Amino acid sequence: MFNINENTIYCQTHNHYIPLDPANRHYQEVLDAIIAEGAACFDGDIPEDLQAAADEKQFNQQLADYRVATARLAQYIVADGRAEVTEMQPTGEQVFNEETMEMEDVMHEVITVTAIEPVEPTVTRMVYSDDMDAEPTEETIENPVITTDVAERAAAQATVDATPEPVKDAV
Amino acid sequence: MTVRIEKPAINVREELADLRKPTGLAGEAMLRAETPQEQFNLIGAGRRNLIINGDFQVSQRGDYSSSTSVASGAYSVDRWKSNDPFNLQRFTGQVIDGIRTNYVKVSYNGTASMGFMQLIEDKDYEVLRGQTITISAYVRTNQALFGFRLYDGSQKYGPRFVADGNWHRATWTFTWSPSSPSYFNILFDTYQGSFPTIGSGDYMDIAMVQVELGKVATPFEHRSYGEELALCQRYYQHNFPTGYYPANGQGITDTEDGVSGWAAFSSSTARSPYVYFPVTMRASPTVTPYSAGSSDSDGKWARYNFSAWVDIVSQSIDPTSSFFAVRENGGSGMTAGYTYLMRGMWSADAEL
Repeated sequence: MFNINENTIYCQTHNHYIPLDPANRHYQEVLDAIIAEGAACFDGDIPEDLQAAADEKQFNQQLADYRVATARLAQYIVADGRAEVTEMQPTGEQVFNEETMEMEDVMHEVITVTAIEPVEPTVTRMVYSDDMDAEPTEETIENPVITTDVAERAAAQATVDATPEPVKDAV
Repeated sequence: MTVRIEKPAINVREELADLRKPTGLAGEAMLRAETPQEQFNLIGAGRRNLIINGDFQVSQRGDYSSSTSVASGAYSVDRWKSNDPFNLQRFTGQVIDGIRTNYVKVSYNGTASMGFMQLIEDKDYEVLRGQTITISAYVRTNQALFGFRLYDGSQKYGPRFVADGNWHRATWTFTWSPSSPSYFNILFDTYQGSFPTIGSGDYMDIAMVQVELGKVATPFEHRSYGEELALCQRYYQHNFPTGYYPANGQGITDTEDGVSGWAAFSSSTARSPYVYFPVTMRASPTVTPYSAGSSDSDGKWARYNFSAWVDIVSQSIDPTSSFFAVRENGGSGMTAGYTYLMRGMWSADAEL
């Protein structure tokens, strides 16, 4: 529990006098507590400037999380693979076009995104019983690479969904 | 006109033999160096170690002579922080690889993972951006999952330590990110994307930790105790005498006697003089007051009211990176303009 003590924040739990200095780690912990618990962590009203600092920190955290999540979602889906993408780029050479009477770039096709095959949807593994005499059996499961990809994409999507619109607008 | 010049004869075989000097690999490297700076770096001249208290000389929070539980996020020996909980014990005056030094034993305390780390502040690591850096330490462990890790804006996983129960000098050379967060940390732990589980009896003994520019782990740079203490005090300091650690009501001679200076400016308010830090701190620190006298209430400074010591019931502290002062609010029985004896201890924490 915190309260304002003149120009410092007093932490009743640890008998700490915490300066209003963003470089102080305990000050950052106070902001984290305000973000997580709101007014419940404060004895009395949270001062406006402290609340504003907590709001700004939360905004920046959400913005950073949103950027990471959108970058994760932009990665290809391993179960689908990725198609090759090419584009025409100048080689650096130029030739004279007798029809237009101008020098023109010599172009060539460049692969800008390489193709990646989809991973196998399932894998088969041997399952051994605790019974030493029993024969091992085969078990077919979803490819763990796909499982991990799906879980990470779901987590990233949840982050995106939970991000407030003002944060998304700031990107 | 023709001029005839005569030169003494040269024995070509002897001249060639002179060129075959007994030059080792290091000598060759010196000859190949293109700048004096490169030679300076090769011989490890000048200040090298970016780690503070890499040999665990300084321990202002406690002596850790017995195994002590350290909570996640807490500091123990100066500058060293817990990333995950562990037990820590400090051994002084030990001989490792022929060098007399100290080491810490970081051991399992019931949590599935543990991490021991030091954070380096941005003012010190600015010179490291985009540079090749080498970390070295003597490590003795029984668990092959332990190794180096660092965070410089992204995770980097270093080599695992040799887990044969003997001391080994572990080294890791890496290129540090050109763009990094406001601090960077060096860790000794098991994390490599996830935390594998460790168990009872697992430990790391760690000594002579060094982080330096370049591709070579040079010998550990020993600094004097006074110098190392001053470096640590930028991050944490207190006013307890040598041999004492921050705690309430220890009743230490001299500190319990009190000093003059509590100046009343009304019957209920007074202020202490500025308490200057011997070393300017990294940022405005968190100040924790402790009682000096055994009869004082925990966490309170006290004032002598000409007949007895009374607690400063409502005190406030306003620290800066250079000093702090304590103010008494809501006191009673003081006379404006009078000064009173006061006593109180403190610690100041500006750690990362």
